[in-house]
Amino acid sequence: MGLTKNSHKSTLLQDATGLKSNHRDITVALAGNPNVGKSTVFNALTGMHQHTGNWSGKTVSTAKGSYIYLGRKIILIDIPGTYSLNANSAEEEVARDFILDGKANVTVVVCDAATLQRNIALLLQINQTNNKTILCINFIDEAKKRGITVNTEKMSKMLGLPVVAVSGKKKLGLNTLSDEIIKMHALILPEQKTTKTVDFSATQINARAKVICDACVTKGENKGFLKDRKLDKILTGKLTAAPTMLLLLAVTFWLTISAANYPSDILANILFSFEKVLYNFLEKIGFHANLCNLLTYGVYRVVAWIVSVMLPPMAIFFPLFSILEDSGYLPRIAFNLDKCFKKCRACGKQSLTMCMGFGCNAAGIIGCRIIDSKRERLIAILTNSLVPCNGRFPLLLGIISMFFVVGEGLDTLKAALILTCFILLSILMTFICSFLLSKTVLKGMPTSFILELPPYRKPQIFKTIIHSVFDRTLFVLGRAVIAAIPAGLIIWLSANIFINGQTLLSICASFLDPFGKILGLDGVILIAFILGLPANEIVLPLIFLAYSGGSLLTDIGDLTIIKNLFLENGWSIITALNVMLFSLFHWPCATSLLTIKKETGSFKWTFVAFLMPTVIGIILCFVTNLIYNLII
Amino acid sequence: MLLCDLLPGETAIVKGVSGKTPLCRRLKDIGFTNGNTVTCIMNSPLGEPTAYCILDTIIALRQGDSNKIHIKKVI
Repeated sequence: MGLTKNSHKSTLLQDATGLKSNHRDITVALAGNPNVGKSTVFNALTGMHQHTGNWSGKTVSTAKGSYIYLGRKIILIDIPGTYSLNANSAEEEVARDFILDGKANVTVVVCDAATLQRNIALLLQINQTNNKTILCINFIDEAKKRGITVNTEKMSKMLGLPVVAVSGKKKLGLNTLSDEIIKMHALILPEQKTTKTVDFSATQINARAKVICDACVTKGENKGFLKDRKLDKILTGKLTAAPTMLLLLAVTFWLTISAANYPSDILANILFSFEKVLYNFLEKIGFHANLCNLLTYGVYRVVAWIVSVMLPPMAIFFPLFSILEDSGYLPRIAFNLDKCFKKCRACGKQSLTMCMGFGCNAAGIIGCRIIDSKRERLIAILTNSLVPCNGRFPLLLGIISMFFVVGEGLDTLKAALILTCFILLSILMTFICSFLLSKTVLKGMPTSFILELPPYRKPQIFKTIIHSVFDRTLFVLGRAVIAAIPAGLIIWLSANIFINGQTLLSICASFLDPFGKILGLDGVILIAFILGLPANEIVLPLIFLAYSGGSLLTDIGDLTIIKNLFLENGWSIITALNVMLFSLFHWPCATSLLTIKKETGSFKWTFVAFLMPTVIGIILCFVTNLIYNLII
Repeated sequence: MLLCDLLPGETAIVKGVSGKTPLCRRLKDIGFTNGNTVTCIMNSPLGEPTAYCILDTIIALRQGDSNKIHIKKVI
């Protein structure tokens, strides 16, 4: 869902194949249908934290990892899922080319025990071209619960290759798999022709897969299937789908708000009480007073603000969202909303990328690779940053709890509802923009839509929380802090450099002020948004720093004091509202823009992605401000 | 009979997919080939797409795609 250290580590195919391997190293490709748990097996073997999610297309690029087994280095390559070697989309092509190139010493075809027949069809295709193939049946523990037993010995004989049953989640059977990989690698087989023109006749292969499965798989009463259908009746039912969707959204926000309050206070108290200590320390070691001020009230204060205000909601929202993702609910959202996207002439899978955008827009934009049609993928990429990412939630939350609801208990529920309304507005805007884009610059009719609805899986709550805090939250926070340091420096310096009796900041602010005022904002807010380009998390702290720049406020951990500071600087309810609107709809952050450039390969579309939300934001703020001024 | 005419709860045997477009190939890859059993599971709350169970997997298709698949209803 989010960008992490590991998603940067994961290499694209070119890098993965270009590796210089020691001849004793074994390169293993993990292939298979989408959503059979390849990444889970990959993680279990390598101990890495490649993102997993319970839906098809979670892994869109190739990831590489390695581990040592019995003194041998085994390099694993996790390739995107594919239904067959007749590739239909970009990421399937990646998979096919990798499998057919034969660069891997051994190919492990990962299968889901519950859908073996379809999986084995792919195995049969792969086995036609690669002779060192192992079948790995994943989710074996889950299959037992679903009344499925597999006779692996018989299957191994019929297929003529090793069959290993594993559970990536529970780490069962992994050593056996490694044993087989080493054995298979050592095996000397006659070189087999690898050709890209093999005809994979689906009908024949499916028939063969059916024969094998009928002989080796026994199915009892499938309680899990019936349970899933009952859940589906609620989550995708005619009357219940929309309310449950809204409820889940509101509950997620409510949990985030109410759980973030307390740690936020504690962190603020600790960090801001340290401010004085830091100042005294810097003074003691002989720094000039101005430098002490700069480092303490410029740099340190912004960083402390980001950590205390931004970290707790992020640390809570990320795992909550991952839990939803792991459960298999996201594809149901796509299923429910597809008709709307079809009306907008876009692809229903855009709901998935939109949902990923709630975590991180850049990740959502990369996720757009699951959309096959180029036109529909562009629409999804351009509209992705219309939904607020995790970095913008704290700003929305902060302003809501300062200006719209004050207090705890029932009021946090109100705050959650207000936030939900803002999110609905951004989703509505996604629909409107998708529609307008496909009516104007991206004309065309909706194409096909094939979506797999995976079985519901119980999320691993504890593991998810640990991973999302250490892997994603801290990484994203680190990025925000790095962006905040120079921005904090600029703001503090410009607030303390005087030209003709005026500070540089106030000169810049008064230059932007007329424009800001038209939008119900002010110059300082616009400066903060501009400086917030590298990371949206720093916008609110920068506004705060700019207002407090000259003064030496103490005890700024308290929201009411900050509110008063904002009020003193001419904020009203319309300023608060428009800051929120503008944070929903303005240029995407630098990371998102770079990702858009990379994914579309075009400056033109990157520029459109920059311009579109900005124009929307300006129009919306202008209109709300006009209405407000007419009424009051 | 076409797959889009199958109502929730009904089961049919796939006869084949008409056409040679990438979509048709994809449908065959998923398992819509002669002899496989397909069950209609449910409609989306807005009427479309529809979810089908094929080879133990639930796949959602829009009407414009499911009308490419020929079936024979099981009574």
